[in-house]
Amino acid sequence: MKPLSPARTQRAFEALAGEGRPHHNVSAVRLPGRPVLPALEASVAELAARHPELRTTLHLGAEPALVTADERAVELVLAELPDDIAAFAARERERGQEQDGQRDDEPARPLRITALTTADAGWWLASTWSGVLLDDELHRGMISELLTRYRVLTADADPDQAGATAGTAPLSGADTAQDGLLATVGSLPPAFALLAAWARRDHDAGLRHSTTVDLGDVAAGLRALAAQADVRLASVLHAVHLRVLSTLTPETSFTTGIDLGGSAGLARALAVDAEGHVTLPDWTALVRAVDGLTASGQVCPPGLAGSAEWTPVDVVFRHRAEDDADDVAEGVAADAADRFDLVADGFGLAVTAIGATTLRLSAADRAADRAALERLAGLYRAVAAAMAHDPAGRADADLLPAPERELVVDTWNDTRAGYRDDLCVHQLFEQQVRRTPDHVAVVDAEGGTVSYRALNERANQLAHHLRDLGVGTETFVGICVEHSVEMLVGLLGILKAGGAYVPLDAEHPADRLACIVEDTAAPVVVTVSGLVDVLPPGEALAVQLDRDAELLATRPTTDPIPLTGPHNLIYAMFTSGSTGRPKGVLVTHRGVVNYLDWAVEGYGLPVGSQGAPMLGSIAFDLSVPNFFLPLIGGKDVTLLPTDRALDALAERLREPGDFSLLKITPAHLDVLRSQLPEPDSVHSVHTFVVGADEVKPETVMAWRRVAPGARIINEYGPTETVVGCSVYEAGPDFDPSAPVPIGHPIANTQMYVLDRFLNPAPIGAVGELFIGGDGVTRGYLHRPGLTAEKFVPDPFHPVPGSRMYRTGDLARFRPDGDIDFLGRIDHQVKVRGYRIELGEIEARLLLHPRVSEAVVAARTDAHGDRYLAAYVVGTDEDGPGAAELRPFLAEALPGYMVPAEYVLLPALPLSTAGKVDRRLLPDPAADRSGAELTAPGTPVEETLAQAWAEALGVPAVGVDQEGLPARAGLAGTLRMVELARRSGLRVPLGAAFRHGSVADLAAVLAAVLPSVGLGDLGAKRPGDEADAPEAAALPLTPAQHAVLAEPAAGGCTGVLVEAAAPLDPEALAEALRALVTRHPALRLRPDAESGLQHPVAEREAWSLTAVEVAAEEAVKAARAETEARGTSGPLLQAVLLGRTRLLLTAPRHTVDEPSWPLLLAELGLAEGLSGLAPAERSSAEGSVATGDYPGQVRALAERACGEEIVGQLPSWLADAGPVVPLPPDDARPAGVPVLSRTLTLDGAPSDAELLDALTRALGGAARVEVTRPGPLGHVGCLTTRFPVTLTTTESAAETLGRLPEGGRDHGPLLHLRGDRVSAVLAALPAPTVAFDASAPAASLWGAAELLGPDTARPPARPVELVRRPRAGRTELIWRIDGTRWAATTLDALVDRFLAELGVNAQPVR
Amino acid sequence: MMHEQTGPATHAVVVNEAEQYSVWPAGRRPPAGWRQVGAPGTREHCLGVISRSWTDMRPLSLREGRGDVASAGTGTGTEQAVRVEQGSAA
Repeated sequence: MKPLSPARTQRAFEALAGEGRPHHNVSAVRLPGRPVLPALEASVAELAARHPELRTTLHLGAEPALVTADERAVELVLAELPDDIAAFAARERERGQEQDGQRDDEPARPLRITALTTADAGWWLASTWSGVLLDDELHRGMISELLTRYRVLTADADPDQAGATAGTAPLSGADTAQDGLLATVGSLPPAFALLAAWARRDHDAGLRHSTTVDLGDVAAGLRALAAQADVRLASVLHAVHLRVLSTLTPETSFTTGIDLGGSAGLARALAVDAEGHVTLPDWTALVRAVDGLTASGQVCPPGLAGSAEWTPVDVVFRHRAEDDADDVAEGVAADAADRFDLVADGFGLAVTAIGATTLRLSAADRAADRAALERLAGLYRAVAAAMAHDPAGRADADLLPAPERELVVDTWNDTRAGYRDDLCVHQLFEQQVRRTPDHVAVVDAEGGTVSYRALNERANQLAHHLRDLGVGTETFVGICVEHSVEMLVGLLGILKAGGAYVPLDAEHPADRLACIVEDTAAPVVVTVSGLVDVLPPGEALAVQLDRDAELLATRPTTDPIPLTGPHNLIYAMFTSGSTGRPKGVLVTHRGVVNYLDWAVEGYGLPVGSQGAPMLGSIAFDLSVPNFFLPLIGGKDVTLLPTDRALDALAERLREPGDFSLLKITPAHLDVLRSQLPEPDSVHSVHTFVVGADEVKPETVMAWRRVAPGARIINEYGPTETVVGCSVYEAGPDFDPSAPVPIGHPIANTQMYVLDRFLNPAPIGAVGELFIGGDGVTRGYLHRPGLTAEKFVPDPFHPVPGSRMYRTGDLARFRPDGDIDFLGRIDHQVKVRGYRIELGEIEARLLLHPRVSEAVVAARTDAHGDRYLAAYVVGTDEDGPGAAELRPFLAEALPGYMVPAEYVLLPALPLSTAGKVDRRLLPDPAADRSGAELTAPGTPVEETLAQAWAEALGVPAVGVDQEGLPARAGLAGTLRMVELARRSGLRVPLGAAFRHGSVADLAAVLAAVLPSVGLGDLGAKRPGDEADAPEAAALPLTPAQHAVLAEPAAGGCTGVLVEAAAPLDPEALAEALRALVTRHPALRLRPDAESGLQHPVAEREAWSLTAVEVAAEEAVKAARAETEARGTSGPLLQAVLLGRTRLLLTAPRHTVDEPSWPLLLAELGLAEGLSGLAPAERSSAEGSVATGDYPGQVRALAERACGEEIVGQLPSWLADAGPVVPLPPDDARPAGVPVLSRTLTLDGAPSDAELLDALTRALGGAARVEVTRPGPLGHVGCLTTRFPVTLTTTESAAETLGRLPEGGRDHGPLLHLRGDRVSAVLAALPAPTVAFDASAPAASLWGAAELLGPDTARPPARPVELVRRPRAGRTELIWRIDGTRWAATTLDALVDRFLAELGVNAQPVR
Repeated sequence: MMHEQTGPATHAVVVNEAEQYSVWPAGRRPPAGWRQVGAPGTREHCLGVISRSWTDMRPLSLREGRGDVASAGTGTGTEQAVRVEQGSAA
């Protein structure tokens, strides 16, 4: 019987803790004839006997537990199918859902088999299976096994059915426990994620779609490519698949699934480096690289995970020689008439290449809807066709299928519209002046008005004055005037003069203003007397509109002769640069005219009688529509008092009014709403245009309540492409559960979502947003390099030589053509190797009903570790805490995207532009105070929280604070485990690493280890710390883990020494004390449960007994006593027999055999113990313990937790297949725990020679656990152990030579990581033979004799062979399990072995 | 000043008829209206070349005084268009 693998146990609890995905799935297969119930019953029984998963039930309730029993937990039911199979499946799933283990008396079962008879010939075998206890792959394997067995059993009765089994092999790999959910280890890139936009929101968890891509017409080309590259055709199809995936992700490397085929259907994770493999310059190189991928060790095993997080691989690729749709274990298609799968958590996408010409795509509805799957099929077709038609072609070719390309490039960008493209903005105003000279153009804050004619004349006078001062075409003229009529006079005057205005916001820091004036070298600044002091000192001439009014009044009031055309500059707007120095965006009239002419209709300027309130600084182009738009359409600009603009605006909005529009930032809109709380209170604005920052759905919904009659438009546009480039109007069907899109492009504007090759990304795929069209500006002032970098050739625009602007924003197309904004690329951060879009997390946070504003930032803690912090403004005063937000985020985001810290703020810090200023976000560590931490709720949580706080050196930790081990590192986590132990709580080190928060760890301890509780250890020994203050707990060594798992915890090892001279007991005691003091290993008691070795008091570490009689019986008795004490006795026990015989013993988990010569040599050097000194002095010199044991142990643990050695996994998995062990003797086993034979050989055959003989003697193959000496010069338990599968097709020397690092890393991987890597290794077939060659060279022994293995203790493995050098000869000790074999079997085995070895042996004993 | 050129030549300097410069992936044909100038280099190298050679960022038509000055009087026909002046921003 096999216990449930740790991986599966963990998975079950993870699944329970995870999102509420349906846990029950239903599959059915149609079979001919009538069901033969006894055969079915027997098949189910056999299946359950074979799979522990089918004997395991899940008990929830007070103490959740997985219980594995001897009895099967599978139900078998016979029923009649009342309607159709789909209806049955739906009912079954519902029924399963109810029976989810919540009730104590009704645990959740893994599987229920229903034989459904139908009216016609044939019946359905339906299986209802728990997604928690089983998984898709495992379930399929089981059903295949079940059917195979059933067919065999019914073969006699029904010869027709027997035939059906011919092609179906039983799935032998099923109990090596592959998880259908593959996962990545930390060193692997993030898992490829299917596109979130592909699935409908109301997807059906149980539905799958499938479609077939027929590549018949390009098969010849693909074959030619395979031939040209000299690879298998399967690799070409795989390359098609990987190339498709790479177009769907912005990641340059990702991990995805590959099904290696074979009867086990083993699926594995494949790490793909897109930059290095998938995007090679040509197809030939690509397919070669893909061909090499599977062989290059980048394939990782199933069920593998990183330390704290794991990401399931949701896409799998398979290749089948032919369509084996009849094989139920393989099938994922739901469309086959005789099979029905209602699979809740199968792969999101399974791609099966069948032969050379067909790809079958099967997608879960949760991953892609029908339309998305069809588009995907088109992509596969296009990529395959590109490769087939031009085998020498380039891998960066545009591969989007023509219809989709036309949609995203042309149809959705067909925005041609007429506008006054021959005019400048001030000329649009002049035209309006001629049309409506007497309309009010400006209403000032006091209510005074200025007509169009008056405004125009004042602006003209300024323009003439500026011309006199030398202002001409594209002369930069600064403008520093607060919101007033003068400001509009200034702006228009500068433009009319031919100049380009440079806004200087008086609120901005002086440094910034100086920087701008210097950069533009503006010869003139238009200002007012009150602001002259604000201006940076310099050469610029200040024109003061108020003080110089008399002079200006003398200038002509006529429109100046124009000096500018649409391609000349209108303004230089400075935006913050990534380098810290602001950069000036050079904007031309044409782009602004296009925007304004579009906005007249787009924003409904004619609808209201008033134009717009003037809100926002002119230093940000956000405000452009608030003043220029009304002035080109005969409406008025309403000025607000500068010092209290928002308050005044709120007052205005409450009053009756008829504003056409208001352009505002989302942040200001929220401030405004806080002053307008009553629903239905605003009727004064027809259109709210929200721009310059992300809008949350909550804001939209709130404004619908406040201003039910108003349009709400989300506008998006970088300054580099003029104010607004795209708009989304929240219509009546607005969905507040999704982020607000930025919509579609405005007139004469193109928006492209491009991949890293500047090719259009498929619908739904995240790419960088590029903007082309008439709004594209000239570039950055004095920054030609930056301009060339950001303004690039537009390959899609019909006008040759066009440019497009690279926004640095991430975006994707929705299937309806609206664009989703997904944050800045430079807000992308990497945390623990994952690239994270902060915008995505923020968008999700904003969907929480109690969050009104949210920002996520990546921060670095004191240890230099990056983590995510969420800053949240709540809708109510208390606001939602981490306990509420974390699960909410975890519902939609992978674990690595869930922030570790949550900071509740009264308001987000805003910059003067009304945008969130990320630099002002507080440090969560400084912000955190005890009051905000979630307090522990149970004693276990309390103990853990205290231990973590102390280990981290902080006052307290919250129980829901994540990522504690990542912050603490190995040393800190060890500290925590030790601190918890002192409080009486045993915490397995692996669990501490895996479960990053107190709450999670406590839950796991409570669930998985129900026996663990406070106080049960009770092993807190007073005086421990006082006795050995320097001793600290250490992790167990891999060898200690292995030995502790053996029968009797490995028993004892020891030496019997015949001293050359009598030994003084006093001196001996002193020497032993010194020995224990010098060697930390002798003061540390290992504890399997906590994974640590804990210090013990010196007096408990050793013992010395003197026995008068030195007879053989006394030796035996002393030894028996030592053995009996097991792991609890002293760590080093000495028995002095008479005066010259000394028996030294120690638990094998403390001292390994190579340690003894070192210990003896040290004893021999002590005064009064010269009798112990080895005969050959020279050998003693080479046997001094020099090693730093704690250092060595820590190094092992550090190495184990590193990512580097994970790369060895493929080697360890490569040939780990089960090897049939020596068949047990059914007839008459000896019936004793152990049978042994000891031989002595002449000479010293090498380990490899012995292993070769062993392999052949065992019948040609053996899986052997080899034990070898560990690092030299150490006292402790440090031997190296590793499993290896040996066969006669290769010599042992070669096989061993292939092992990475001589096998020394296997133990650390298996025992010390404590993650899914360890779990996977643990789940491999166990060795059936132990080969121990760790005994040290004979020359080191001197007068000592190493004790043989304990005759009563069973061997560590069914067959054990111990090799010991003995003065020019070799002692071999054979031990086998006497409960399985008879003595004659052992004799025959030894004879075969000796014959194979070809040497003479002399049996002893 | 010489730019150190290290790494593969991934980009090329391209220029359009307005003599606006940009970069484009090396080895890919530049889009219509653009031509490659000089040998490909690293992205940094190409941007460095552009920084040194693109001294006047106005499109060629404006530099050559061909920029059409808008005839503001399209409505009235009373005003005269004049040529754009050069270098007045200095």
